[in-house]
Amino acid sequence: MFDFDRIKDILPTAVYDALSTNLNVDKLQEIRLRANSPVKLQYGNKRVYLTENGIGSDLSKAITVSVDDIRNTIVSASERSIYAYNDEIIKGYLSPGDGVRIGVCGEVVGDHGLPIALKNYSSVNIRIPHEIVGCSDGIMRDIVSNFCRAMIISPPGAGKTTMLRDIARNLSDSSNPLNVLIVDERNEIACMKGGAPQMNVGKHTDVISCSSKSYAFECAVRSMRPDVIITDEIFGEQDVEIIREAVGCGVGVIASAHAIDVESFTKRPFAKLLMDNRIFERYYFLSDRFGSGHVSTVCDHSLRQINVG
Amino acid sequence: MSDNLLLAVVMSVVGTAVGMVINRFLKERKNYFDDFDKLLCYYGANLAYSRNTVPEFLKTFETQSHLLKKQIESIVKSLSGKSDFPSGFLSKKECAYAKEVFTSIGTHSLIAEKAFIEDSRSKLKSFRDIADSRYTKLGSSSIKLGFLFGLMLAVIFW
Repeated sequence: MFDFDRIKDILPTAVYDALSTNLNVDKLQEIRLRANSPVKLQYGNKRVYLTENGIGSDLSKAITVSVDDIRNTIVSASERSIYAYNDEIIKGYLSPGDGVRIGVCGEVVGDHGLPIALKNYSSVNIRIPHEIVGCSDGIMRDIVSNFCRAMIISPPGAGKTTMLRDIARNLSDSSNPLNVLIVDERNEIACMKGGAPQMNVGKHTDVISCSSKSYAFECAVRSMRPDVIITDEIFGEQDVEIIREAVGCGVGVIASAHAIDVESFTKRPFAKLLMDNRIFERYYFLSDRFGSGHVSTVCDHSLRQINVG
Repeated sequence: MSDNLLLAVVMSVVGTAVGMVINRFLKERKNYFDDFDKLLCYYGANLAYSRNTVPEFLKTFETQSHLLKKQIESIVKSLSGKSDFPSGFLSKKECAYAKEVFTSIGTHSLIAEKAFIEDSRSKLKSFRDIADSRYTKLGSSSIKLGFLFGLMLAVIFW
């Protein structure tokens, strides 16, 4: 269970006080801070405002935060070391550890067309980790019998990362443990800190964090000889090509992607590539209707819905 | 006669002690600014290579200056709450400079942080030069001067 006190130094005092005294932090999924705007929460799958007395839908009673609050949140989350997190911040996020993920918005500073920094921070979205041990139990047999070539698909916040983490733990700690390697581009799955994972990803798991997929996959396949690579957020044809290489080398790959349902997924340009090349054998669609990590639909390699019992 | 001799010895000892205090004060100031420059220099190297976070960097930095050590401890403490910034023997201007550096360190993007360190080092140079020249001029001779001053007073009061 996530220790809420760990983000005490990150949050503005008024926000932390309101959250810690009046709310059940286990239900808290997201804290959205926008400059000069009310604080919004994703709380128990509902979107509500944060007030001094807890949650509410009355905008006039909501706690607001300033531009300075946003900046201080980012500075604190980076352990007062913005430069050390510069590469992450440029990509729009920050992983301060303990599984907390922070989305960052601001003004991009560019040099010859390339982003080099972010300034005038305007909003942050703090996502609280929820480790649900056993959420992948129902699909594990199906994943293993399909050569560990699977994709987890869901809209944001429905538990893709939680599911990937649990799959890693299940594969790694099974009676016949596999060598699992997590390519954790945004340090969200294993949440590495000081060389150790902050989340339970299993005893036979290696992690390459904060690296691009292409670099990490090449290093992994060449030097670590994993049985399965687990990675997050496939985005675009380049990622598909990297995964195709790994699968071609005989390594199982379990990845995730954003989409609401099967129909919307097929509209993504890289979905056709995945199907044409039969890269994945199974596609699991998650829904947050019954809580994070609930598998609503299972499809085969051609995205035909099937029943796996 | 023996009383006068005793007085002369006491005066000389007191004068020497005063000289030693002045010497130590000037040396401490020189060490402070030297180590402050070393800190900024090492921090610049940290930015270029290992990119450890500010708390990680400060915890491993070693200094001979007691004041700088206290200030570093206060900054590390302030990362998880508030703490007073010790000013010690620093003048108002020097203290404002040190406080500005310590409160701004780590709050910029990589390129801006490098520029900030360069700028901080160039501002530090004037403080460092003054502390250095005072120690060179007065530091080494203060003990001798103190002794001679004590001896001179003893002669006057003989």
